[in-house]
Amino acid sequence: MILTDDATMPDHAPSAGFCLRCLVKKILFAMFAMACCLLPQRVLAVLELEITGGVDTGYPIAISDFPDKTEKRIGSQMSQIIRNDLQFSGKFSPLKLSAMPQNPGAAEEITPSLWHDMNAVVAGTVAVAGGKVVLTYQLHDLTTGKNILNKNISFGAHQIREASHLVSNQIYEALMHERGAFLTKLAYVSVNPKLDFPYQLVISDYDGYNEKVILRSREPVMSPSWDPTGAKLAYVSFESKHPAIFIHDIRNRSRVVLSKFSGINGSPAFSPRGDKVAMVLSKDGNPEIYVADLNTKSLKRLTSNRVIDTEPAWSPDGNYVYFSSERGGKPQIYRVAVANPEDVARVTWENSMNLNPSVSPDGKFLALITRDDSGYHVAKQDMDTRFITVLSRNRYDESPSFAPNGSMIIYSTVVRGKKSLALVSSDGRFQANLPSNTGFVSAPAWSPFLN
Amino acid sequence: MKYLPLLAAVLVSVSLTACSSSNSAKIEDGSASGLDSSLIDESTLTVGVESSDNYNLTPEERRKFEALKQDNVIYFPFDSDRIDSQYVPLVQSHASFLRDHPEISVIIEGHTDERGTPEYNVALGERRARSVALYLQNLGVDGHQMSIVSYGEEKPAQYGSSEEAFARNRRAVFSY
Repeated sequence: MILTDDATMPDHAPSAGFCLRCLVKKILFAMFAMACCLLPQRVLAVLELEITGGVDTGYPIAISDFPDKTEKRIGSQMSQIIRNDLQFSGKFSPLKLSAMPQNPGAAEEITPSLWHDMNAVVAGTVAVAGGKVVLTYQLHDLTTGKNILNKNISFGAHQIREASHLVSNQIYEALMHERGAFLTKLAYVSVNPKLDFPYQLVISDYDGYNEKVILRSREPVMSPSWDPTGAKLAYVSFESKHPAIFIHDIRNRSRVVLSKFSGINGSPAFSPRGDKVAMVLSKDGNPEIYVADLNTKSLKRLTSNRVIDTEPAWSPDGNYVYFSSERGGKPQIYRVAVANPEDVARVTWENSMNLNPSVSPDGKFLALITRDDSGYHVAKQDMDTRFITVLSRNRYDESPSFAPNGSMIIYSTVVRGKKSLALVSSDGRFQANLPSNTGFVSAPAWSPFLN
Repeated sequence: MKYLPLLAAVLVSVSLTACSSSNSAKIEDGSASGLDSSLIDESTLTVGVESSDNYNLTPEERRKFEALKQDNVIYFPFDSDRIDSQYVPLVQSHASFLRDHPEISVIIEGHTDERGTPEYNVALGERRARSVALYLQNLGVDGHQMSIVSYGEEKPAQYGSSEEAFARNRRAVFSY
């Protein structure tokens, strides 16, 4: 499906395609890769986490250093990853390793009187058996003296981070009674002006590890948006010196052009069911919000006026699209009913400008960029009370995106003169920067749940 | 033909499944949900075209054209698409060249500084490009020779967050 008004536009997109010969090649390559046990090459330097704020008011928990006899101290690595995960959620205050009174390899070894101020302790041991690593752990509730979880996890030596995030999810779910988002991904754009192909679309684990370059181009790439299965990304690429919206299947590297009208083709956003894509087109003179139905291949216009309308974001039920508009003077956020574009309401009223909406997965909050005297900040607005809470003190925040459980928001900002990503827990309690070692990083999009 | 994508999808998913099982890439935790870590293809797609023109120009005209390509940027004040009078000669020389060479076309790029959000800046950049295109049209350049593209804040002339960088980035560019 290509939506276009210009048949003469050259199609530089390497064909979207499904050709059988390529497929056979691909399968052969996959088999070859398996045979050789090719490990992923890290193209960019790992993002380092730098904690900028956070009050220790979360759930107090201690994670043992998981005693083990492996050379690489796998238990210790896992313990650190789990501690970070729980800290980033803003809901936990994990005890520092150096403050631990003992290092229990099993729940029976826990001496409760040593762990005052803690609500729970995670005890565990790592062993290697038959080429597999096995973590045996218990989540022990100190208030009841009972084990909430008792698990055996086995995995390959190259899956330490994944297995650790899985444990974090299990602990988070057992104590917070909602899904953990530690096994999710980010998509973002990295720009390194020194490279022949400076613009890269990258995906990584939620904490910036395991970066993989999906696309590299001589021209800008913008606005990645995940489909609800986490298998596809919609994005804008200027590779043919004109913007076009692509839908890219990250599993098999195939992609299709969704839209390349004259003028702006921007800001794609998959609907919650994945059957539609909201986008911005200026083919009729100025930027307006449209919705493309991927099944019927029809295009529906949702806005119609002489000023800028942009940055569409879906409500979780798929009935509304939030967007920013200049119709009242300075940009503010509005909401339009997809079934009835006449039904429009202004949503934000505080501060001189509000832009870049993103709706929380439960529909109760709007993350946005608000402008005040000190700059552009990530903020969240309560849908009912309309009360805005500013979540960052940075000057140049952009592109907020919620974790699929709503617990955290990833956004881009400028840290020490360089565009990079930052993370804030949705309650604002925990903040961290994810500086990159190479290039400028922007346009983060948090994936849906993948497991 | 219609079912080919479906068939391809099935085949790919089969190959991925095979990959994950023989590679032992599953994490087992005794519960039902295992993880497949082999979902992502390692190879990167590389795209982009290198630009060059093959217009047939006399040496004199070619010199003129190359000089125009060097003097091709209009800078704008903050939050404005108004073309300052100092750029009138620049726009006029491009207009006159384009009038004399209807076979040559120009892309007018609109750019912004990095303040504000990326999508909003694409919209603001387009205003700058349109403002220049309208000016060219008023100077008699055929609409078919012009196209506009807004890069918003995505393609800065100078990286960084200083006022100097911001001023260099709020611009429209004649790109041939």
